[in-house]
Amino acid sequence: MLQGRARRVFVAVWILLGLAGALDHTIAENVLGSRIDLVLPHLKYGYVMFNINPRTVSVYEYAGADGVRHDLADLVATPAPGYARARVAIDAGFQPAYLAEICLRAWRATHQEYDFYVDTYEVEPGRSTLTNTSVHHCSPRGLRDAADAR
Amino acid sequence: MPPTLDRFFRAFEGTRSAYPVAIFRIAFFAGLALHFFPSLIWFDEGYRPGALRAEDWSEWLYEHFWRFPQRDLHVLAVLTIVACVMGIVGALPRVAAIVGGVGLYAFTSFNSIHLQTLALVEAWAILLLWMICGGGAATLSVEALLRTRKGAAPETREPSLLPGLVLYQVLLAVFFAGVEKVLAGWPWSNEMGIVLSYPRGFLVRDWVAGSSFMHGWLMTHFATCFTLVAELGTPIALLFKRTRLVALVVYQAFFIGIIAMLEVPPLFYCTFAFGGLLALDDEEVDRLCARLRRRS
Repeated sequence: MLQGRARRVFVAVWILLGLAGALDHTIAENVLGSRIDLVLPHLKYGYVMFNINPRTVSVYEYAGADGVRHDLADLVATPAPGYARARVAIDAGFQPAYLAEICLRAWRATHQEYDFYVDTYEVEPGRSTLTNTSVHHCSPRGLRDAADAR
Repeated sequence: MPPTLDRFFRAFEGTRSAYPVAIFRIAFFAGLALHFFPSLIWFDEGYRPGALRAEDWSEWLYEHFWRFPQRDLHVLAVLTIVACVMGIVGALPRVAAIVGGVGLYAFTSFNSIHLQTLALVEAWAILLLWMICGGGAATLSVEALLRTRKGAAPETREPSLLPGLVLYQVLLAVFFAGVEKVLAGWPWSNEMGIVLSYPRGFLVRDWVAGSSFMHGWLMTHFATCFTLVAELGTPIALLFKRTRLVALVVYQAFFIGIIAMLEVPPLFYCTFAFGGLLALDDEEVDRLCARLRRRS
């Protein structure tokens, strides 16, 4: 499809755009004071893999009538092969309303009430320490603090 | 044209063995299928009216989502699934990239809540390249099967443009992931000590959370250094014939290590680990194929 000079122009533009996207995310803010919108979706977020990792993290679990705790990801109908718990943790971290959404779906699907446990850990190299546990009750009235719900 | 310029563009011109890009095509579209099909099949979870949504991509599509009739969205979901399957089996891969790419981008823009934003950055780039360049179905594909059934000689070559640019895209992302880590202060911190110490249920796999060896000073510092070496070193070393095989072993070990230790989407592994195979030149592919044939 692309021949000769046109192909070389395309290759050069693609390579330069890729570099611009990478530099836009790494140094543009420091050098230019703001980032540049490069329009194409793959240039929007730069190339990031675990460069800055949170020191305070939450683990989400639930328990039914028997009181046994399970991963909250088990209540989410949409499968996520190999990363279900990470997906729930990230989604709940970025969208606090997500827990209420899981509650709503779980109630509609099973007509059972649940307790949702949010264990918060402080993490440092070599160890993670449980610092807080909050419990929310999931019922037909939505997700509420367990102490208030009872 | 100056010879150095010709040498630079050689990686994107002419033809090369069709096997690496065919293997990458299967892995990449299979990765897309694993990543997106759950959202498209369990459709109501993310796309029914009233579902909780998150915006990460096209603002316009996100805002106008409600104006698309549900029936049309169902049709688009089916077309998107069919396009991904076409990509896996190697039937009209450019059409698969166009239909699949448009569909996947639209659905991710409607609601990105189940779709892990950062896993998708490379996918958009590669789908866009596939839309523009086409190809990737000369072998290990339905198209190749139909050609040989008609009595045509099997094709073993592909234009170099697509695999060359996909390799560039993948290695650029790996290299700059390393640069981002250096800028975040990695060489002087034990950042992998944080990641590997996460509790069970957050990002790490259970065997990592349960292993005291994986939380130890030695292991976490080794993982930090190895990550930096792999991300900053292998994208460059893969470009030179003399260092390529060693770099490929380190590169593959790095991504196997990630998928074995951390809960990351399979699409991430399919894109990066299989993308690295595109660095192999014809001679190396022939040698590898001959060795595999001898073993079988």
